[in-house]
This record gives sequence, structure tokens and C-alpha cells, in this order.
Amino acid sequence: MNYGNIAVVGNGISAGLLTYLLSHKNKITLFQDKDYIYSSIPEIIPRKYFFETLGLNNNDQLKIIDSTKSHITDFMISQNNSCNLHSMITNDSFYVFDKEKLSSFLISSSTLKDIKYEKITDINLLKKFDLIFDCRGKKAILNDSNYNTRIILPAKTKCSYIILKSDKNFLNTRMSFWKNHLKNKQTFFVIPTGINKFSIGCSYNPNQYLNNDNLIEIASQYGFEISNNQIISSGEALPSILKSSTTIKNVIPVGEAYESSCPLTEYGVLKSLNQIFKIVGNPFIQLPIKRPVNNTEIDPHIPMELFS
Amino acid sequence: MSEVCLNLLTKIQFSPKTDPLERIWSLEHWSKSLDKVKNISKKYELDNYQRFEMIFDAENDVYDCVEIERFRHENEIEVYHLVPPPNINHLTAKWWIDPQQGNYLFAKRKILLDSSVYTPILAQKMFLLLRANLEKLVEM
Repeated sequence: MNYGNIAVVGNGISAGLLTYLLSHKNKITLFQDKDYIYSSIPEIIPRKYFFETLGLNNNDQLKIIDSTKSHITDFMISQNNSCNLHSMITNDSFYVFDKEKLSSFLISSSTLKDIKYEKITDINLLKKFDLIFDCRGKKAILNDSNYNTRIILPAKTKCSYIILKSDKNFLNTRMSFWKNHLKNKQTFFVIPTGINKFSIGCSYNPNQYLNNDNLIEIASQYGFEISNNQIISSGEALPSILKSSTTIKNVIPVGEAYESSCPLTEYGVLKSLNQIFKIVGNPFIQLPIKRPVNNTEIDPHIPMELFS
Repeated sequence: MSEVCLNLLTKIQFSPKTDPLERIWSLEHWSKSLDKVKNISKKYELDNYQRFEMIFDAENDVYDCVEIERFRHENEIEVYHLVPPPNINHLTAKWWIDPQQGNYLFAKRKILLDSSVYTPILAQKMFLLLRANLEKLVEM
């Protein structure tokens, strides 16, 4: 599809995929926020659907898999008084990747007219483009007054977390999950997020509330002693499914900007890809977006596809 | 910086009257049998899982303080250093028996370290340490 002189705004996978699929026929100016912080939690999606619809053969796949692999290579799950380790690398059925690496791989494989490192907070300030594809994240859209957003499905899970620094050279290749479903579904996690940095937190029912003191108390139950001077930041995620629209005629929201996903039950990348295929002129490709989740699961970070 | 990967492998015969994996699994047995173990503090424990901090005298200027995670399987114990000893980037180990091989306990240690730190003498020291631990822990 040829759209002329277009802008793509965003740092994530949607911006990368759209740019990758449109760049050979369009003059693309890409706008990226150079201070954007990518989540270092690896993402998992069905391998075949993703690569085959992109038209990538096995050799290309292996190259991409290798250059986008996460520093996390295994995960541990504790449930019913037993702990088990599982490998967390791409297999024949599932592709596991680092979001930042895949995004930069897609961009570096595209031909761009220009790339501008500029944080866009008001999409209406971008002029002189025939079309603007807005691939920013949920937060940016909620903060942009050009959009109307409504909740189409309330969140099925909630997550509170604290980012910590470690003074020791802590193993950064393993995520750990501690399921405690005695009263309510609750999973405590420890996820390395960089060199000597990790995040601890809980996934739990959205109608409950946990503050930092609660998280520190839960961590201590699993033998993780946390002191206040280790805390870098903390946050909360409540992934309701949001649908957004704008009245600006030449702006098309893509991916999360159009409709966010529930990470527990949906593959956000495939959901976004379904929309992107329509944009690039392949309206008949419809990828299944449901994750094979069972009803005992509350934590979207657990790669439940890799064990049963 | 380039890294060296060191794989140390050894085995020892055990008395059929003893359960060598049970001895290796018991942290009390480590404290009791090895003078070099100065302290062990358990952080979390389940039947098939342990996480603990260990102060160990590796004959350096100061004692090593490491944090270890261990998993117990039927014929095997898997060991991961969450915090490895100084100058070591990554350390994993495995203790196992193979009923078809008779009364032998096998021990393997995989160590990643910067090539600038590696010397053959260091490798030998590490092997002798593993060997000495094994002998004391499994002593008939």
C-alpha cells in the first residue's frame, strides 16, 4: 500500500512492524522518544503465525531469534510446595524475545526517509504528513487531549511492583514466580531488569490493593530482605482493555493506541499485527490472539505456554 | 571482555549404606563436615528447593559470601549461584547418581570467568576444592 509521505510515531513493536512492512513503498519519517524505557520482561508469541505471516523463511527466523533473544533464559515457578525450573528460550512453537531488541531489529531492517528523536506528547503538532500512524503506548494516548478513550473490558489482573538496585552481582538470567492461591490468587515475582537491577512485585485480583510496604512484607516471606535504600521506583499496572479514537483526520492510532490488550489472555503483538495487516493491504490475515491461559493463573508474566 | 568456561568433573564411590544425595542436600551436613564453611543462613526452603547465603573460606584475604539456589530431583541436585564468589561471573553445579553406574556420586561444576582472571593454577585450585569438598561430604 502506498500512502505517500507518512509519519510513524512510537518506540514499540507496533511502530517497528508497521515501519518494516510499509517502508519499501512509502517515505517514512519515524518519531521516537530517545528516553523511552523498554520493559525488559521477555515477550512470548506463537512462532509460526508471527514469522510466516511476515513472510520470513527459516534462515531469517533463526537470525532474528538470535539477535532478539532476551538476557533471561529460564524461569522458576513455585506452587504447591514445590519449585520447578523451566527453560525460557524460543522453541519450535513459541518465539521468546526482548522487546527493545525486536523493535530496533525491525527499524534497522527498514528504509527510512528520516528518523527524529523527539518525544511527541501532542499528535496534532505533527504537520506536513499525508498520514500519521500513531503507535504510541497507552500512557501517551491517555495524556494526549486529541484522543477519546473508553474502557471496553475491565482489567482481569493487576500488578504492583518495585524496581530495586542490588549491591551484589546478582544472577540476571532467571525470573522467579511464587504462587500463593490460598485465599486469593496472588503471584509474587522477582524479575531481573538489568545489571544489578531487578523488580519484585505481585500480580493479583484487580479489586485488591497492595502498597510498597505490603510488597516488602510479601518478599520477606519468600526470603528476600529489602531495604528502603534499594528502591529506585515503584508502580502499578491495571491492564484494562481500552479503545481510543481521535477526530484528527489523518491520524490513525495503531496497536495499543487503537485498542490495548490484556497481557494475561491475549497476545498484544498479534492483536496489533492483525490491524497492521489491514493497513498494509492484507485484510484477510487474521491471527488468533488468545493465550492458552487456565483460570488458576493471575500473572501475565508467567510464560505458561512453555510448561503444562 | 572475553570469558573462559571451565567445566570440572569428578566422581567418588560411596557406601551403599548411605544416601549421598541426602548428605549433599543437608545444609547441616555441609556445616558439620566442611571446616571451610563458616556460616550458612537459610532464606527459603521447600522439600525440593533451597535458597541460602553461605560464608566460605576459599583461602582468599576475606571469606567469600555467596548466595545459592538448589533444586532437588530424584537422582540429582542442581545448584545455581545467584551471587557467585568474587572474580567469577557465573557458577552452576550438579551432583548426581546414576544407578546403572553403581555406587558413584558424580559432581560437575561449570564456571564462567573473565579470561584476564584465569590461570591454570586457579583452575587446579578450584578442582582441588571441589574434590576435597566431595570427599569430606561423602566420607564413608
